[in-house]
Amino acid sequence: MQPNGSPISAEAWQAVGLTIQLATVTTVILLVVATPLAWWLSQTQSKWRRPIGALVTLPLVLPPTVLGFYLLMLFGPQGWVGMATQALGLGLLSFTFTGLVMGSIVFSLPFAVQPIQYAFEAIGRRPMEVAATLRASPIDAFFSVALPLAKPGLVTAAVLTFAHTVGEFGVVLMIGGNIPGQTRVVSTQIFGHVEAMEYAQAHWLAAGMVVFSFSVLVVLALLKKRQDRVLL
Amino acid sequence: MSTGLTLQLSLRRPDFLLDITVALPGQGVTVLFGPSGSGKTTILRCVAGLEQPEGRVALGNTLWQDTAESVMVPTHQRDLGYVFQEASLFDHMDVWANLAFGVKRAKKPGLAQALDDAVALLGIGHLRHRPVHSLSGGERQRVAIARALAMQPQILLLDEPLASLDFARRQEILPWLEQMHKELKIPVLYVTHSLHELRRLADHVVLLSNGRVQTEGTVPAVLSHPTFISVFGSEIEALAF
Repeated sequence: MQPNGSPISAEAWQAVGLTIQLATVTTVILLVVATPLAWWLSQTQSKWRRPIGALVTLPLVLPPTVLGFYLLMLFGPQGWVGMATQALGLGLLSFTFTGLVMGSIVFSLPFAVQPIQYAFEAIGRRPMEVAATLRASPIDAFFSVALPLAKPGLVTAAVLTFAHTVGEFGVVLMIGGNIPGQTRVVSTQIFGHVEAMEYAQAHWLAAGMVVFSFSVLVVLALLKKRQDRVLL
Repeated sequence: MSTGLTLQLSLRRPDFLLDITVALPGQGVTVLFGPSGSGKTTILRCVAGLEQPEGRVALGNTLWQDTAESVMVPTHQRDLGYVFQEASLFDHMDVWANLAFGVKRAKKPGLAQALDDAVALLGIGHLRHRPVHSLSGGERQRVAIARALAMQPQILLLDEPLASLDFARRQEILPWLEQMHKELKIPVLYVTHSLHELRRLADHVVLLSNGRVQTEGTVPAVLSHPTFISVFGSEIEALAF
């Protein structure tokens, strides 16, 4: 037990803070990256559509350790990214927060792209055609019509990406190294507690994760219900 | 006929071939008439640049497409108004934002007045601040027509604007269309397979079937043409009452 009697240690609170920070940064960057990618996937008739779509979905089915392993190799001194970051004087990304963000972006990519892509596909071609007959250029129509109509998909993507990043473990452990204050997030903190037989503290954090995840799913369900009503 | 619409279109689809050459009047309502699948809507989409056929599209002296010269003006740069068959209002905007959408982008002088006129002409002033989803089907189509009209386009394209409505709603909108017909100076291309609408609105008729022009001319001339009777004989009986 901690000297002040709190069941959650200062170290664990630090992990909670870092987790929220990681999930927020990942979500913001991923929405910016995923939206054009989802738009392209929803509109293109290119032969590359299916291979690229499969590549985007890959993190969904790969074991996180496999993903983490390759990212570790990529970020390391012999990897392309590692060589590039060293040449730029940034050092190596493995075992840093930036590396963790990049890993999380890859890991959560399908959770961001797919809801947005489905939302764009559900809109269909007609609203964009209507916008064109009303003098809107393709870029204008994208921002004034497609994006607002896809808002439910964007919200779902943001919530899923945030929650999925909070729940990530394998990738974080592989490329983060579990350094307190830098790369130790809630999931790896729990792992640490269990390894050290600190079950009471593991319980508090684990229960917190259950409550968080449950709340996210309830919020998603409520959002969905509200959309359905708007559509009627 | 330098103000008219000249079309020379050829578009091949797996199950369909459109092949027409036609010069249409620069004023009044021209009805594209024919059974489903005859290519009426496809022609309208070609005029708007929403399809990529081979051929040439010119409105008066303005060239919109000529594949021989590699000219293909994108839809948003063609000075036209388009009303789609089903309600095509933007659901994420209210009626007023829908009406203003094209006017804001058309960048012509006097459009604020044109918008007021279009709103008055179609009798939708009281709907301004309503959300789109609260409108009836007929109200939606009137807003869509006003939205296209308010840009004061050089041509107005109407694709079966009444087809998605029930009988009562059609009767409600037809007088507005007739009113528009009387007051409007720009050419209108009107697609329908309803003989009733043709009779009430057309100045000029183009008769289509299987992607080809069968005949064209004034309403009485086309309706009494032997091809009309041979191609549409049975449908006339169904539609004429």
